[in-house]
Amino acid sequence: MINYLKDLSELKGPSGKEEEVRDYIKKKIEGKNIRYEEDFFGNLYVYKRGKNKVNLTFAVFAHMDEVGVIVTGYTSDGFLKIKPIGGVDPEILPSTEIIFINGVKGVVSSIPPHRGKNVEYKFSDIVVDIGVYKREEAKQKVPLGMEGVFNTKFEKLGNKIYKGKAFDDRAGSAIILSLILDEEIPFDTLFVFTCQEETGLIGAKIASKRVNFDLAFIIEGTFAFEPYHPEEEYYPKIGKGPVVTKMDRTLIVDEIMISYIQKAAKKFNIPFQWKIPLTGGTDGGMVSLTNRGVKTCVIAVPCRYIHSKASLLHEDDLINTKKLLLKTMEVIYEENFKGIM
Amino acid sequence: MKKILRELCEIFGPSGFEHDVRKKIKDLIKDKNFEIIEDKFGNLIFHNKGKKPSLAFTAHIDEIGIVCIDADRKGFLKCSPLGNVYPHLYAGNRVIFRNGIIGIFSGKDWKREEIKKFSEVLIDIGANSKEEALKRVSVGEPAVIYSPFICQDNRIIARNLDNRAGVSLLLDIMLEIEEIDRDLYFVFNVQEEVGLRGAKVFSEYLKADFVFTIDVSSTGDTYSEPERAFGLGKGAGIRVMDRGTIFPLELVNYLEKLAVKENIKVQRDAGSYGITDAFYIQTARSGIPSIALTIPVRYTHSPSSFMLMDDLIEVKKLVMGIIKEPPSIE
Repeated sequence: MINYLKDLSELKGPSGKEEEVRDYIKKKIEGKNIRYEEDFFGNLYVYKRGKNKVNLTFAVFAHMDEVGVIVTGYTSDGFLKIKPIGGVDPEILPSTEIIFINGVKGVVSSIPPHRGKNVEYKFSDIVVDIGVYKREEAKQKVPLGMEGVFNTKFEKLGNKIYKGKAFDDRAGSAIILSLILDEEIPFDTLFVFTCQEETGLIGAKIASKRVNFDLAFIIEGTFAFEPYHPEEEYYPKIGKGPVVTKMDRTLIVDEIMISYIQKAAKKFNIPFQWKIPLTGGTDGGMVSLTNRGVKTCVIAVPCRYIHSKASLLHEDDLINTKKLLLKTMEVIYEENFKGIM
Repeated sequence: MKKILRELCEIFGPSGFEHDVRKKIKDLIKDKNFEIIEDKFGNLIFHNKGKKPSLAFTAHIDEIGIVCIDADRKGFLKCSPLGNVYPHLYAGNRVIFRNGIIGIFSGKDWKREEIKKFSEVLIDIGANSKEEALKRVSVGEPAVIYSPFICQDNRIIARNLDNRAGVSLLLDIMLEIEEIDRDLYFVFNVQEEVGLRGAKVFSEYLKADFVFTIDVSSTGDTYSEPERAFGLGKGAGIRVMDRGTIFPLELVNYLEKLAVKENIKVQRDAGSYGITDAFYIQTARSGIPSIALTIPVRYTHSPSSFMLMDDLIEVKKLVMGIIKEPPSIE
């Protein structure tokens, strides 16, 4: 699974330009006798057979896109003006390396300490330097409206701890890709790789009107607020297991689903931690309101420093998130979908 | 209707935790001959088959509340709002958790300084440590304000008139109507206070020609609300405009004509505040003509909302009038 994550993390897929990610997933699935389809918007639907047939549709979602920047203009001396795609804090951008989707690389401008920096960086203050002198040259190399992402290599740092970009939500994508390719699942399942989550859950909105399903799991990469959390406050940490949502800004998870997850965790001895209630939002909020109401759960891999140039995650969390999803499916099946239908 | 209202107001049911309210509604209606439609989101719909046009009446069954998110070292609980809760109005009040534990809504230096943000709120349940606090109230547990239902003559005070008043009105009508040849839906929807989520779900499949949303509306006749004509004791509100919706003039006119004919006291309810489920219903599918009928209530979303039974009765008369003489489909 870590290999999928490595490949996926290094691909370029800002919201709206998920081709590289989609093509990678398609290539992996092709020839495995697994049916899949795409919609006009770029969502990818994978229908994987399970050991058993059930008379409801179970869907698992992960989004393919990541946050990034988009070129909005040029200065006369050849710098690129940019705006964010999704939630990017301009304060963390200066001096990071950006790679545009046509492969051109650039560095975000920053003020050297010698000049005594006392400004708060805003998008209006920063530009991307691609090493050219003239506006025309810059335009030719990176056309207006082209998207870019952080240029970060995937690397192992410590014992089981990996560094990379876009773990939100390539971690989720890697997990469900691994479920499709490497695992036997208890019943037929629809896996959906969505687009444009970071810009407003748009792919999920289209996907959930296109296909019918009764039950949904969202697999995400979520924030672990280390090391900045106040000592006495609770925050999810990496290495302590998947993060399960009870309630976020967009979704209140049905208690029956929570009890299924708890049961699976207990039975198979899988560690997990709660997400801080009423923080964040995912595709789950959108999905739960469709198809006459869908019981929706969110399970996420905790990652440090998400939405930045480099995030850190723990391999065990990745493995346990997959395990928790799989075992919850088994428990639900064993109990014959009690309380769900 | 007063008895039903009291029973409903005494039930615990913040957004996402409406189970007991739903159960009560089913209990009350069990002897009536409605077809029951339930969706997986928790919305509960009763259908009476009959002559078109089919009319739907909706009321949300949830109320605002708070959720425990953590405890501090000293054993105070931290919380976040479920819906639009004003922390300064709750300060000093008691809150009751789902498991019956009662705590005090306090905060750092709350006696001297107004609590402005939820990050300053501390719920005191008398625990001595973080462990003890979270053992008694676990993370994610919901609570509502603890404020008893009061009825003096026709004056009602309760924490959750929004929208148990609307729910009790629909239930009262459902119990009253006998065999009737009219296509009617009575919709009890969930999770309105956290962003009209229930309405978003049911409005995509509800097959009604007209939808009437019954909800409460803040009056403009006190010094605590922005001043406007809408007031207590002036009868049923016909909403013309709010923060999210402009209602069809045809329906406003139809209701006002109906009110004259049936001798019902009505008032227009207009402003740029508040929002109702009609926001989603109006734009669902290819657009469903819908309007909000409002019950004037003072101090909504506070521990003590204030309402007159007379106003509720006028709204009920208006709903009965609509059932008797529905608007025509062009």
